[in-house]
Amino acid sequence: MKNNYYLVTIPFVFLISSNALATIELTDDLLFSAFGSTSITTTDNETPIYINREINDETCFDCDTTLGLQLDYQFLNNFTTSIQVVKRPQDNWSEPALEWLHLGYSFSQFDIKIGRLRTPTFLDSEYYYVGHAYTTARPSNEVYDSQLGVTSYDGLTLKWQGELTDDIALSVEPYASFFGEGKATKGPQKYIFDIHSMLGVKVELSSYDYRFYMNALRTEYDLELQLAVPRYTLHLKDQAINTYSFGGEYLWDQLTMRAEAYYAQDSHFDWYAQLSYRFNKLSPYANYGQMHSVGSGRENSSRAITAGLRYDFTPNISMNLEYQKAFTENYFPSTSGQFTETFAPGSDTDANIYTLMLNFIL
Amino acid sequence: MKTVLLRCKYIKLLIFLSAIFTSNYLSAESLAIFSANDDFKKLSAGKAKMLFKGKVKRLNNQKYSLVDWPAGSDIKIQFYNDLLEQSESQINATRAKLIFSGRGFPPKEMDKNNFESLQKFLLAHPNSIGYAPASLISDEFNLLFILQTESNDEK
Repeated sequence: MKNNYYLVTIPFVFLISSNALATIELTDDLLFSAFGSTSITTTDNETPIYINREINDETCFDCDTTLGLQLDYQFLNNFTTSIQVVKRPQDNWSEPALEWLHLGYSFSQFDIKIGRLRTPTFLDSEYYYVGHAYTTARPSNEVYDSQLGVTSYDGLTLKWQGELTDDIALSVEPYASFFGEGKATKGPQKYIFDIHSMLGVKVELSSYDYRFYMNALRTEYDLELQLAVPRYTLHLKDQAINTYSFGGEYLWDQLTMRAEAYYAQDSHFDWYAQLSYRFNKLSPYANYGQMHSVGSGRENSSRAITAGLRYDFTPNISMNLEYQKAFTENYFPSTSGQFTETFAPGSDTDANIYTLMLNFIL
Repeated sequence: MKTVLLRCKYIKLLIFLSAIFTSNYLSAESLAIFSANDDFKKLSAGKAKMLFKGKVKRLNNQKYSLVDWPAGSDIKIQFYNDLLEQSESQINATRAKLIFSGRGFPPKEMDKNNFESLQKFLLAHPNSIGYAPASLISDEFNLLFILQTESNDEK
């Protein structure tokens, strides 16, 4: 694993002196681009925290390591195709994920895409793995981990984008899937979703200095839940869940304010709010987020405060130095908030998380 | 020998004056957005900002593409600072969001840091939109918007 670590760090060396958004235009219509992140991170709690990252009290050099490669091609004037392969934090280097592969057609104010697509649930969903594109080291875990790290679907989308005024744009994007399999791991638990149908719509209002969105999604599925202790597999047939997310971002001079919330019907409600300010290359930021279980009759909650600094070495390379304090309440013994395993009796249910992260885009 | 020394001095003086001229010129001159396509209508400030933020799908119902000056060039830095009050890093982050959302190609970046190559490119690609010091843009182009700077008002 350590040798592979260099696969992410070597591109930084080549990028240090570059200012360009160094996508590589192989031809006028063919574009290659790449992105990556890697970190040194640890907590003071032996119970691992954060889905797919599993950070614990040992210093971790590859809990956040991500490398993505993307190829875009446009042809016949209105057609596009794109492929993105990502070594996500949870993947082995030999088994990266095909995050998307789609064919698109554009006409008038409409875009149609079919294939494997990114689930557009949140503000940063579409570039979820591109650490350089957002301010914090990781997208707010309270909201972005609420779908167990499932980020893509097989289906189609039709997006309409129009202008209400010269500086206000509106987009409406229905999307659907009628088959597919989703896999997620939370500590020792494995979730395998057999999707029967997924119907969603995202509406976004935006200008050059703000954007607000709402997303509603209904998913019908069978679930196979594999528990490690006790070793047991649970089959849940014909499940359905309605989820809603909404939020926005507003830029006021060099200050950026953003907040998002996610509600999964009869399951949980999560939200966060974030402030960041840019002083030339340095951006201090603060984030507060909460997760609440609902409908189970128990008042479980988990919350986290984050304070960090982002520094842009060049327009293509950034670094985050971040501190988080995560708290859980009333989770013992069945679930564990942002922690991915249940707590051992008597163990600490809070964690201090320290992260030094490096991001690049190529 | 004397002639050679005199020439060297003369060249140095020219370089010095042109450096002064260029730096003053960049800070005082307005930049303008322009295209070779006469069908594009004049832009409002809001529309110009939306355009370079990648939030306009079609301009006057036509496909279009944007052209940038080379990375790190004074004109590029001044342009995004004047138009969006954003640094090149912030603009790259915005562009990264578009590219890595699979929503399209970034602006074409010019290889050379001079107006002539931009001019040639725009004439060869009429649906492209670029920016340059307003005083350099000839009548054969469609001037879409002139940016506000500290020393002049928005037009």
